[in-house]
Amino acid sequence: MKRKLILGLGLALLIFAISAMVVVKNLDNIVANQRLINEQDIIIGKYNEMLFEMKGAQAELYRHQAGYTRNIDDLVNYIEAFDENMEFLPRQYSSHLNDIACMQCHSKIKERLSSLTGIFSEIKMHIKDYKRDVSILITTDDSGQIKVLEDAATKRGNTIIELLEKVRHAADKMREEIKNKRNILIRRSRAVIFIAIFFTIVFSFLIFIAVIRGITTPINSLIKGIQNIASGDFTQRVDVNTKDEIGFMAKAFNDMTEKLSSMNKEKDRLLHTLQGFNEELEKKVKEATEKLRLTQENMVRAETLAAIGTLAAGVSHEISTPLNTIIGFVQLTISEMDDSNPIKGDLKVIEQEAVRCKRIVQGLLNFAKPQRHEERLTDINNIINETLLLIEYQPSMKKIVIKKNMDSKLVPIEADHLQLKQVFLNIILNAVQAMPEGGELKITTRNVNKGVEVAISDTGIGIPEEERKKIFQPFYTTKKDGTGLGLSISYGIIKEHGGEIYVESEIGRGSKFRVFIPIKSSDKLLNQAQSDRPHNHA
Amino acid sequence: MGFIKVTTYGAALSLACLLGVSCDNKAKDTNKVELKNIRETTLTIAILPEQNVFEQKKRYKPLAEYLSNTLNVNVKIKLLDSYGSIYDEIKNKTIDAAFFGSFNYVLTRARADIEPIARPVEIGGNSNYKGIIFTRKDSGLNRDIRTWKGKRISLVHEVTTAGYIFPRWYLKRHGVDNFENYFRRIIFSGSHDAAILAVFKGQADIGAAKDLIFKKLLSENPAIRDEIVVLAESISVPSNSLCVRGDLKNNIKSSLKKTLLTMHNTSNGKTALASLNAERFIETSGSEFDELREMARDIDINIRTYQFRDSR
Repeated sequence: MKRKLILGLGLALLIFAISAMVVVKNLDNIVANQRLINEQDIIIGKYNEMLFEMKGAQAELYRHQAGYTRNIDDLVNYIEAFDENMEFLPRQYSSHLNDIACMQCHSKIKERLSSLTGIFSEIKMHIKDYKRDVSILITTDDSGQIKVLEDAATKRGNTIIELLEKVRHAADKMREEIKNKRNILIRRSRAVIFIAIFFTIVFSFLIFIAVIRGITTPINSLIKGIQNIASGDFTQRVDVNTKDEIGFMAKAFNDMTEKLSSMNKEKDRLLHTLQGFNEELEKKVKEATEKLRLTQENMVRAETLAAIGTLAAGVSHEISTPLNTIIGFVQLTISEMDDSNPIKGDLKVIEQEAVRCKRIVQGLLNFAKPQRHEERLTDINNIINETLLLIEYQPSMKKIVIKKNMDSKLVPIEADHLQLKQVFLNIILNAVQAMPEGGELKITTRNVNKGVEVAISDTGIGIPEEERKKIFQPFYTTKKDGTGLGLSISYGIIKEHGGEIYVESEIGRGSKFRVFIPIKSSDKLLNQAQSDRPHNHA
Repeated sequence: MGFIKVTTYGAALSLACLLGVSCDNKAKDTNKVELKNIRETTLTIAILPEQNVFEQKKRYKPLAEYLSNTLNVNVKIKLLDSYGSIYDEIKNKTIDAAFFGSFNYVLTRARADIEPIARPVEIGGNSNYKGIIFTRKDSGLNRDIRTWKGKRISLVHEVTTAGYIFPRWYLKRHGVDNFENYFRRIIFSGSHDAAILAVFKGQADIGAAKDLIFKKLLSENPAIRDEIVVLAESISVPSNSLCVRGDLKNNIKSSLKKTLLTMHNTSNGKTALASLNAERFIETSGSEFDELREMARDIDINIRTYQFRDSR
């Protein structure tokens, strides 16, 4: 900025100095012209004096000749003074030349003086003769000469006066010309001064603007950069290329911004990494929590089932004997009754309900009593097909379209064949019952990671959300004649195989049960052995 | 940076030029005021118009300045338009001193109280002059005065030795008593140079004047030298002498005399003498004019009663 200020001041001073030089030069010319005018005034004054002297001499001569006076001193003094002035004039003119620096003006005035020199010579010649004539005239007694000399002196005096008036007129003219020139120079100087002042003001204003802009623009740029950084944008740089203090500051600022940008990038990277860690941790926590929840649920369910099983075993044992008695006596009564007996119908209802109770009790006994679990290599596709054979001739299946999409390369797994069939039967029957008006039953099998998945979906009424959580609980049923044990038994079987059952459902569009059965380590070895031989699955 | 340097140096140089230009016009003229000594006493010295009055003024002006400075009095030169007026000026005491022509001195001395002081010695040692009679070469006149008869004669004044007394005396010696009737016309030109010029211009056939003026005029104008021939010369008489009024204070008279007689010893005095074409002043006594008085008596002039024409 200091440089800019020096530059600005230097330029303003330069303009002022140049203008001042022009004005001073003009002033010199004005002074020279004024000196010429003064000298010209002196010359014109001398001409006037000489005219006065010559006219005075003429008058004195007349007074003397007319006898008014015998004093000739005044006459002689007039003419002597005239003579002295005559000597003075060329010197005064030549001093003109010394005052003029301009060669053109010099030659012009020299030319004028040359023309005047002729007139001066003529005047000198006349004055010489005049003095001679006057001297004789004032001393002679010769009347004849007096008359002639008087006429000659008068005539010569008048001639001198005429010549003087001529040169005075020329001097007047010359003075007027010099005066005009001086006035032009004065006007020109005044114009130069005004123009210089105007341009100095304009230029100073421009310099002021430039300096202010030179200061404010980089500072504004700097402020903008600081604001950008404050708002977190580290990509912005200050565009200041000046080599002054502000430029230095801008460069330091850009360096600082560069470092801040690097630090910010490093921070972002660390944050990103930390975020990844967090997400991973959150995911793991979530998974662990889910596992814990499932485990908890399983434990609750298992305990519930165990408690129910224990309860059911005791209750079933105590109830089944009286039920058998009831059924036996009812059946005996019915057989002994006539068909026309009006209570025979009622007895049959009792028999049916008792049989139903016996079946429930049997179910409870089955639920409570651990079934024999025999695992062997099992082809899931075969189990599915066998299950479908059991139900496909039922009347409720007439409106159902079965679509199978079973993986022919489905891996055989170690499982209890009968139990799995029971599971699939339960799920398929539930699906069929969910489609009383018919629909599509879709069964898909596939190999998944570490196991086999069987998906059974229907286009039925769907299961509400609140019910979906309870469907695997024992005795929970929405059907009129259901026991509420089918899905809870299926769930128990799959869990015993180490698998999972997942339910997806949407009201009005249907439900989907996915059954996952894991491959056990011994299965892998077996699968390996099977993969070496050709597949023969249906 | 380069631009800044150029700008800075340019501004400095311009300022230097500006100062240089400004300082150029120093006051060149110094008005010197010379105080003049105001002198209470004035000494008026009259000059006869023996030649062109302007020349006379020019010649005597340095002497007047010298005397003013030396005597510390205001010495004033008064030009006279006629030889005849000098007596009246002395009588009326309008002048204190005058450079008298020799016959003029004789006449005035006879009638008034004047004292001769000194007269200049011309360069070459001559302190006297002669009267000469001259004519144009083509006038047909010669030394034989008979050839002069009936001609026009140009004289100076009736109170001049060379311009009147000598030609009248010369003709008287050659048997002409009636001087005025001998010539067809007598022209009194008033000054010696005018008398010479009258002959030169043909306004007169013959003339008489002072040889000193004649020689000066000839030296300045060669044409005159070629045209004019001298026919006769007079005896030598003292040159125009400075005479003072007798009633002037003695101390002034003595200091004036002393100054004149010693002025050739000073450089300013020499300058003033040079203007008079003189080398010094010598003392003049009344006895030196005795021969002239004799000459006047020869032509029957009574210096005490002599009447001369003076139309002025």
